[in-house]
Amino acid sequence: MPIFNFYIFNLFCGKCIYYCEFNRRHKGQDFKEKNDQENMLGIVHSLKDFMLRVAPSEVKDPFVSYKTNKTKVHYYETPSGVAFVLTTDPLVGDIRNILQDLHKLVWVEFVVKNPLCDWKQPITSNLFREKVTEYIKSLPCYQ
Amino acid sequence: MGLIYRVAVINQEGQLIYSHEKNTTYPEVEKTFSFPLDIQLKLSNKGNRVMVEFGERDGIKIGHSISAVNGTPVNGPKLSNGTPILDFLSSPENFPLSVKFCRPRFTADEQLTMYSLLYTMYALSANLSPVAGSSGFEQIDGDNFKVNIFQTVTGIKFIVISDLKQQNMEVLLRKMYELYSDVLKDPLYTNNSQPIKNALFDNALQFAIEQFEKNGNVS
Repeated sequence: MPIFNFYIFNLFCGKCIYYCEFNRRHKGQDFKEKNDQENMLGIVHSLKDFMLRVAPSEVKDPFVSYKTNKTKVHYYETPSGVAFVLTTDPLVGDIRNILQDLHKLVWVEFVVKNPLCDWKQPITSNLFREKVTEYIKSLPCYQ
Repeated sequence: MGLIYRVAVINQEGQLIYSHEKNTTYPEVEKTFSFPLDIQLKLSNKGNRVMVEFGERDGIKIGHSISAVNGTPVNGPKLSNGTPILDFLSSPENFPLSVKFCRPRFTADEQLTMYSLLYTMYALSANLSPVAGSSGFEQIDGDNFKVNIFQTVTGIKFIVISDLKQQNMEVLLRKMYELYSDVLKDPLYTNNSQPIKNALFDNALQFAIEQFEKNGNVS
């Protein structure tokens, strides 16, 4: 069950600070990476707002994922303003705990604790890139 | 015994033409306060209600709005006698007083904007997909509820907001499509940017929803 791509957004600055692809098979007609990232942030932000409004009762996470006929987009955000977005095959279930572990074991260890990493700018640390790739490839839902 | 919270229909241009909400009353919290009020309040963006901005406590959450002061229901941002609420709450001689907070119900305008936004996001999500040939989103999950969307070949979208455990949503969505096509047979329903105001449609849809909630299937 493939994982397609992965974005990390800084919700306070409204920017994508990390993006990587594992298995992206198709790009839109005039694909520009920056536009793609901005669009993804826009969708995720608007859906979160919509879900918060239509929620029938107060819930902790109003928006968890959305599914199309070919992909499923998972969303996980922390109160510190970091949001992880992972696109996968639609058959993957709820992976909030996976994203939570990604935050705990990779983000906190290799970005927050890194004095040279400024999370207001795109993350350029090679160590972080390696660790993210390693973590995602070790997931059971990665092909 | 399933739960359908809301249903809605959006036409090709993205306008909401039908919306129905299950009649749930949101819980209200009433508390007595003395001066000064330790909850930060602000006027909502449209200026039509007073909302809690900061200072969650005792069941009063951020985003909740004031529904009554001293027992009398409020009229938007003003009390029933016309004084703006924020002015009333900033003078010490009006205290102690009791205020009732509850989750705000959305006006028709707000619902229109909400659903139009959904329509735009639907189009964008189809373009953004990393795999070729993706449709727009068919299901959006929250913690304990989900939104199912069915787009017909003509571009009309049927939306059902239900409990997460509810299965078999396509059955209800297709039934809604069937009932909608029956509305189109009404000679008085001329163009589909009109909101649907058809009593037969309302009744048939209500019946279908109740049947679906009980049996998981419609006839």
